[in-house]
Amino acid sequence: MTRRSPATRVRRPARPLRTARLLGVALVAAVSAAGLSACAPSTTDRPLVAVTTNILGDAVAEVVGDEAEVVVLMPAGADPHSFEVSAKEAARLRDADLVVENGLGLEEGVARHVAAAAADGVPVFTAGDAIDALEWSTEDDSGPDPHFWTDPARMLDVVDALGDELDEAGIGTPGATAYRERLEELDAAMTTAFATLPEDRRALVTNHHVFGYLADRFDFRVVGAVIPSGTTLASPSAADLRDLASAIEEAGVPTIFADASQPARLAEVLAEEVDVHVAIRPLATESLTAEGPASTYLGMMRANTDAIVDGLSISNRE
Amino acid sequence: MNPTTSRAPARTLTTIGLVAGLALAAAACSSDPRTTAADPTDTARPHGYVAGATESQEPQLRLLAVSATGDAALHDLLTADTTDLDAVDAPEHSATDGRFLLTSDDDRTTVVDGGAWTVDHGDHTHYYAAEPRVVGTLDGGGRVEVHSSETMTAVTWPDRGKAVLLDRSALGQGDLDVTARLDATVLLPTAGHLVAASGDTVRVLSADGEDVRAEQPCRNPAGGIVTRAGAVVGCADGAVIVDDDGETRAVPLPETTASAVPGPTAFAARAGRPTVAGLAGNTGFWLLDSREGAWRHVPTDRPLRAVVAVDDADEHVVGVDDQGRVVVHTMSTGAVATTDALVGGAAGQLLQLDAQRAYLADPEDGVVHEIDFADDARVSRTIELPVAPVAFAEVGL
Repeated sequence: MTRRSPATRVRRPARPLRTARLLGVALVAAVSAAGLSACAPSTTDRPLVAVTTNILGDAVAEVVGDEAEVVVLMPAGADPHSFEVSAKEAARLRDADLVVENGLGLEEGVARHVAAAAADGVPVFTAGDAIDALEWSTEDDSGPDPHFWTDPARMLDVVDALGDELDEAGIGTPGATAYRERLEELDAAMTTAFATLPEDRRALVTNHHVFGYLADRFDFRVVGAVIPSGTTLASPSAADLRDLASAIEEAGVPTIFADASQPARLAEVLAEEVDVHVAIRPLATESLTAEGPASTYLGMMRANTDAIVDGLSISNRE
Repeated sequence: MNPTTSRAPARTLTTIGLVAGLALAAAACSSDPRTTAADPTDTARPHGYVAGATESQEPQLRLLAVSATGDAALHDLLTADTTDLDAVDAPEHSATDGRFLLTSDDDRTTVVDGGAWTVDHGDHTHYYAAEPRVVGTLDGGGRVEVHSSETMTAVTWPDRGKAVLLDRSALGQGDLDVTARLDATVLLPTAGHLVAASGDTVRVLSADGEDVRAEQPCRNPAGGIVTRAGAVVGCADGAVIVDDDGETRAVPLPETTASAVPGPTAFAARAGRPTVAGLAGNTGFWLLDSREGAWRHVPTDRPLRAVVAVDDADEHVVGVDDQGRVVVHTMSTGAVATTDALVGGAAGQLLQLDAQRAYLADPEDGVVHEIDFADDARVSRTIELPVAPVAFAEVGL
């Protein structure tokens, strides 16, 4: 049963907050200076920016530098759709000088806490409001696609709008210019890298649901694929693999990009049962990791770009 | 004793209830000078936190089985590991919503949490796994049905016309929290309201069960199911469908057959799918497309004892006939495939399925037959269980 009809989705009204914002800032700044002393004393005199997702948290931290304390609510490796915060964290959100959220329905678990902070007069910056949003749809449901960060150009739009918002909140943005430049470099690097792929190879056969914006920006086709589950891999038939195999054949790609619990076994049965020879690689999707290349937004995007270009360049036909 | 397990495909659990074991990590005073994050020492766990639950990349499918004497066991279909659970009352009836298995005798009803569930968010899906456990018992027994929304679980004892509403996130944390008691023979929770049948009327109620928002006549209401296209209640001459906005419509059985072929008194389908199946007496089965409001009668060679609509691209329908054979109808082509007799004819009701496989439990031999319905009803695995199941649920759906 899909419960995600637009009427039931928890949504924070984005616009009406703006009028309440200026009143809130002065009050909240005073509260936060006095109240957030759990950490090192040196952090308490800085304004507090609370960010819901770790991808936006990374960008905000780059932009504000030492001018603000940045608290990221979403743990490394967590799922932005379903992570939640404790009562204590929720209270901290309401003490922030600025709350930065992704929006477009992404953070279902914390939307109500953001709404509560907004009701208290805390200014809220909704990144999704700064971009030209795409829509997702299924046979009986649709909505705005919240995964805009897979397009670096839209991330630039967000960083620009964020800078304005920080200015208004009186928070310095010493890193903004440098981070903009790095985003532009990323955009250029991705454009150059994907240009090496022939047009007919620019297809992502994937069970990841986040690459709509990347596809929109760099002219890829996204071919949604259902990955056969572990129960079917125990005793597979050609019927189990038919949909995936036909998606791979139609797309004509040597690699699919998928989260699979048993990727080696899947590749093996695809070859055995339906004579489809394909590599299976995961991509980083919607959460930064604690360590490794995907521990920053820029690193995650470059790692994905490399994986896509490598994956679609190989030849593994036998 | 002739236990039946009916499937209520509504899946669920509120998103609020889902935190699952996402580590609430990171330090309040991170050594990273740029950012700080949540406090790990915070003892205030988020609402709905389920200790030990983890999110996975694929459905965490498990079989939950209870023997005639109440011994319970869980078989993990991904790892093939089997775990014993605490014993429950000897079951006479059972029902499942794809996470919880309810078993009952004449006096009381036991709730077992299979510890695996799926949440469909439209453009993406979450799969969760947690420790299975016996949650507790509810007073009152007899034939039982269970249906769930994201926030509510409705338990109905249709023969007594009684029903209770449970807080589903509390249930997931091991607490039986009855939020309302109603007189109803069918009770279905949907996103914004409740659909309750009693007497000869289907009523659309507010989510707390207090206010009546709409009524629709329905003679002898029996059987219900929640699909992504709305809630379906069976009536003597058809069905009442209530959409997510609470609008009701009556969908009568086709007039030419209404008198000759019995209408369904129970519905079953793969979790959430809009096309549902029900038995048509001994004549075959009914398919109801709850989105289109269209009935279709499909005759079968032998009388069926159970039928479930897969509602996939090939429109598979899986049944068990009176000789204990699994019968797969492929509606898109008209093909019919049949297995050998797998169970005794009377045991045919212990049928469960997901998008790829169907599972038929054999209470006599203590095995579960896994059927690849898309591959000419191939028996893909035969799974041995430590208990001979008379109550049976596939969970993780």
